[in-house]
Parts: sequence; structure tokens; C-alpha cells
Amino acid sequence: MGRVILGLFCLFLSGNATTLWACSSCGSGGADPVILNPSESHKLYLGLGVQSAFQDIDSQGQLRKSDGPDSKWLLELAYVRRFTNRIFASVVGDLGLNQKHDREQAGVGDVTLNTRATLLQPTMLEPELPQLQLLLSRRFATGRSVNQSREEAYLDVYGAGSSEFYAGFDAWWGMMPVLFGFSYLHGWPSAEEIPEGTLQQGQLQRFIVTGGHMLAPELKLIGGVIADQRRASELDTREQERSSRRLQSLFLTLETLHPEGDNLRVTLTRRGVLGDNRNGVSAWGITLAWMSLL
Amino acid sequence: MRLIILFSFLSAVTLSACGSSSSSKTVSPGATQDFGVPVAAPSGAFKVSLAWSTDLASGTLANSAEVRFSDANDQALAAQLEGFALFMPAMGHGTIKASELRFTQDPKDLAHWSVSQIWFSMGGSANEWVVDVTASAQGQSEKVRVPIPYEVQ
Ligand SMILES: [Cu+2]
Ligand SMILES: [Cu+2]
Repeated sequence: MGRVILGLFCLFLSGNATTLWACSSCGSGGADPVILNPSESHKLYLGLGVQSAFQDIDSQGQLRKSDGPDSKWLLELAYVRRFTNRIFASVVGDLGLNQKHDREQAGVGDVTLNTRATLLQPTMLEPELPQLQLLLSRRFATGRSVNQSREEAYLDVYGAGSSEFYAGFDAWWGMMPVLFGFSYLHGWPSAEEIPEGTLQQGQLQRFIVTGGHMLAPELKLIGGVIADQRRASELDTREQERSSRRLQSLFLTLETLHPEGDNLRVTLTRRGVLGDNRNGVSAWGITLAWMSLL
Repeated sequence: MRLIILFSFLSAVTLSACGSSSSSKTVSPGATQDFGVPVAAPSGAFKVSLAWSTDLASGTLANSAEVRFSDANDQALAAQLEGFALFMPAMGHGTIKASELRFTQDPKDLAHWSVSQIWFSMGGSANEWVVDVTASAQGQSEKVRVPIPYEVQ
């Protein structure tokens, strides 16, 4: 009986049951920018983002003036499709535009394939159960990387350099008055041929913790922390000194949740904050996204 | 229509973002730091030490270095300089404009080379950049990693 009352309370808060299922932990910054709610079969996603106020973080954690672009724009196009009740997959591609003073250059970035399998789905009767999803992703290094760059200030860099395989899980409590979730992703990068030899980046561990609240029946606010740790890299099987990485980032996302039709999402990100960061970049970013069920 | 609003909003964000302009750095030509501690090749065929021009800076070809080869007893050793590859081990990248590098061997001292037109693709604290020197001496070609104990502005 208590569960039914709690369930009804949830229903009352949200106005519509499906809206509460909307999000998994990685509203931003995870491997996949777009996910499907249980009632949706496919969706188109168009995102436009920009990052700026870059500062380099060196291997000692020291902040330095960045010699790279002043701003990096990203136009993201994604399509996500459901295959079964519990499995959906998305393909994400993007175009980058880098600017420094009066110079700018554009090019294609990396392509990502993402799959999510739902292991556990809460119901109105059991709202305290999390939505539990398994994540599998593969990034393809289609964009030009730092080691392929030919331009001053890395104006022609849009990609990470190596392909990478990711596996992880995502737990999300979306039917309670306070939304909460966490997810973990492990990354196995491929080796990359660079002029100096064969570069093998270290494995990635990504932790995401998210909290949020429904501001209105169809308006969700979530925010959280993304903590990335990457092990030391190797050049021609020799471990590179001080090359392990750490980067903590914060994000805040405001998203509409119309069960049928178009939705908008704004995400503000702050990369490279909260204590110890190493071998990374600190920056501000904002992304506006439009999602349509077509 | 929606996209137009999106774009104007985002461009307002970037306009306020462009920060410091790059400061130009004056390099006194010919001025160099002292030679560093020699680093031995894995086989012991040679040792190499570097002396850098003062005021190393990113985004310019004005950087240069002197290269000196020696044997196990620290005596000058004639050697062939074959490669001079800058690398940032912590970030896993090299530099651009490697084809601009100029190697010159001192005709009176075959153990002594000059390398000019060195481009650093980014700044870094002392020891963030290293150089992988490839050279052959006594019939053996080898690569040696030499630290750069100076800040690159
Ligand atoms: Cu989410
Ligand atoms: Cu670097």
C-alpha cells in the first residue's frame, strides 16, 4: 500500500509517468549524448556546443596559458533507434570549428557507436528501484588528432587520435522526488601510430554522479560531477613519465521532457575543477541540443 | 528559427571568452644555456648533451640548441646526428614543423652540431618537453631521450 501511495505521489509530481524515466546519469559528458525513454522507438539529435576559456593543466597540476584555440565549436548529429524492448543504439558524428583570433578551421570529428541494454526498469509500484543499464560504446578516430596536426595552435584538431572501446553501467533513480544516479565507464583505447612511434594511451576510468529535480512537470534540472582517470601512456611499449591523467568536471543540464514531440536541452560544463587535475584542459562549455521523435 | 536563436546565444558566449593575446618574446640570438648532464645511449656507444638557446618559446622558429657527443670517458666523439624529435611524454604528443629543422655539423669539431628552427607546439614547465635524439657513432644508430630542464614560454 505504501508503495502505491509513493507511486501516486511520483505520478502527481511529474504529471506524466514517462517523463520521470527520461534520463540516465550521463545527461552530458558520458559516452552517449542521446538516449531513448522506454516509450520511444527512435530519435534524432542535433547539438551545438562551444568550449572556451581554455587553460592547459600540466603533469604537475599547474595551470598554464593555453596555446590552442580560443574557442572550439561542435555541431553534433546523432540518431538513436530501439531494437528490442530493452536494447537501443545510437550513432553520433560531429563537425568541429576551431577559432583563434581571426583564424578558424573546420573539420570532421570522431564517430561514436553506443549501445544500452536495460537490465532493470522501475515501475509505478516499485519507484525505489533504479533503472539499470549496461553500456557498450566504440569511438572511431575519424577526426584529426594532435599528432596529425599541421596547423599552429592546433587549429586543425577535432579528434582524440585513438579509437576506444567502452563498457560500463548506469544506475538512475528517476521516480523519486529527488532524482539521483551514478555510472561507471571503463575505456580501452587502441594503439595509435604517431611520427615518434606507437603510442598506447592508458585505460580510462570514468565515474559520473548525478542529482536532480523536476522543476515543473515537463522540465528537469540535473547536475553532477564527472571524474576521469587515465593510466600512463606508452610509446613503443615504454611507459611515459608522469603521463597519467586526472580531470574532474561539473555539469548542469536543463531539459524539457515532452513525451511526444520535440525537446530542448541546455548543458553548461566546467572542465578541470575540484582539486587535483593533471595533463588536461580546463574550460567552460555550453551545449544546446534539440531532440525530435521525427 | 529555433536554430537562429541558438546561434546568436552561443556566439554571445564566445565573444566574451577570447582571453589573453599572445605576448611576443624577444630571443637574443646566439645566447645559450650551459650544456646539461650527458645522457648515455642504451648500448653505451655514445653520450649526448644539449645546450639550449635562452628564452625558449612556443609558436616561433627562433629556438635553437647545440648538441655535443662524447664517449664513455667524456671525450669528444665524432657522430652523425640523424634525428631531433621533440616530445611531450606526459601528454603523448610531439610538435609540428619538424621539416623546418636545420642540422649543422661543426667542420672543425665533428662531435659538435647545431640545431636551429626548433618549433614547440605548446608551452610547458621545465621538463615537460623532452627531445629524442637519434644519432650514429661507432657504426651504431640509436635513440636517446634527453630532458629539457627549462620552461618553454
Ligand atoms: Cu542523463
Ligand atoms: Cu602538450
